[in-house]
Amino acid sequence: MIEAHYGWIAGRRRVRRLAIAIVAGGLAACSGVEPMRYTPIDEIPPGPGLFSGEDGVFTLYRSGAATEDDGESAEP
Amino acid sequence: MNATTAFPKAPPRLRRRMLVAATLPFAAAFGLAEQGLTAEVSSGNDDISLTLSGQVNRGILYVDDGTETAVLNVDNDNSSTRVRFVGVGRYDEEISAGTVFEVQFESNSTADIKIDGSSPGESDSFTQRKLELYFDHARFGRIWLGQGDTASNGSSEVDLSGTDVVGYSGIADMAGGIEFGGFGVGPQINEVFSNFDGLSRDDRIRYDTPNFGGFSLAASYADSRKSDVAIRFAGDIGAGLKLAGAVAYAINGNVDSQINGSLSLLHDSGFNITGAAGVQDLQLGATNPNRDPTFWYAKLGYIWSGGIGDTAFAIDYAAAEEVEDTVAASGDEFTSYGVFVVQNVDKIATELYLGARNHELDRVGQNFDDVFAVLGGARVKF
Repeated sequence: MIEAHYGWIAGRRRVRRLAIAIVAGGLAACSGVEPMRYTPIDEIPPGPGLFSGEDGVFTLYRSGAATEDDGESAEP
Repeated sequence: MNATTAFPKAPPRLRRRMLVAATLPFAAAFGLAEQGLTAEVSSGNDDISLTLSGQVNRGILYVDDGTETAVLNVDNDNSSTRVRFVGVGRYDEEISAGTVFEVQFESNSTADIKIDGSSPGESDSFTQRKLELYFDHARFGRIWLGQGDTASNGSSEVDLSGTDVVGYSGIADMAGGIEFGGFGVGPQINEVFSNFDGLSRDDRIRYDTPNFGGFSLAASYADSRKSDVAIRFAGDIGAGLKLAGAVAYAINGNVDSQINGSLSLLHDSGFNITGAAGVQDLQLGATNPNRDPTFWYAKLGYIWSGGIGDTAFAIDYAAAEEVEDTVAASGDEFTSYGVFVVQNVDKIATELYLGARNHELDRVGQNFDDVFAVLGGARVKF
């Protein structure tokens, strides 16, 4: 019982250390970074479409400078 | 007796009316179609955009639960079949507003289908993904309102391997409804594994900061006292390396809180590694609050660029403990490993994919056979 208790504590510490490593890795890497757009994996992928062509979207209407990019998720 | 003499002829005037009635809808339709070809959708406003996009993602799923096998036609829940409308209107150079309307239509979702081919609870219609609006300021960030991604959604799923359409940290999306021990016997895969991916999508209000050197911060508040915060990063960090990652903290009402994250590194050579982990703290309110749910995930991949499109390969391993909210789940140890390949066919905007995954559950006092699954299919962006 005690061994199991300390076992899960060790497991949770590993997870927290990994989370800290993720943040630290990101912060350490931020010098000289060129931001890039990351599309979350459950989103429609960027790039051309079979019917929509190069844009990857059917533009039903457009005027001025507004683009579909303005409406994409703000997530990296 | 031929068909023309089977029924008495209608009077000439009635026949003319019938002819008009029968052809009117077609005439109207052709008229509208002709109008559509010659006249644009119009608006009285300037600086606006309205677009339509979508995808179809279908596959064949083979499953073996140790008792029986099945071959099932499925919709791949890793990235479901859907359609999306995005509207944007710009107020000035810095301020814009927009709407997102995105719905999915899954027939036999890989996340739910059982080995007998049934999909309990499946909707025979569109289901909501995003029904939201936003206001954006270039220097102050963006506020979202409506059904959409909470701040922490996707924070366990950052993945640059190019194989996510068939395998990623959300491994229960591949064959989640299959039960250990045979049909109707043990728990489903999606009951004993979770990647604790934040608070998913929900009716919420959300704020995103602008991007600072690849970093952004988000926070949201959803119904039932759910709230979360997440920090994200995505950038080219030099030395031929691209890095993306996220860490999130979420409170889910009075029941639990969790911390989770993921990180993915891609080298120009094509080699890539991905990791994810999460832990939940349970409070009173859970059926079994004496559990300590955790998960972790690791993936190694390679992307070969050339030919008809990128070819991506990957292997992965995942483990989770005490995820299911039942007394029996205390001491649960779930593990899974898989191998995946994705072939992009750029010319037809298609990804062809094939993946195999083994699922193992160790439960105190019970002995389950492994569940083995193979998923092959195609995602076509239209």
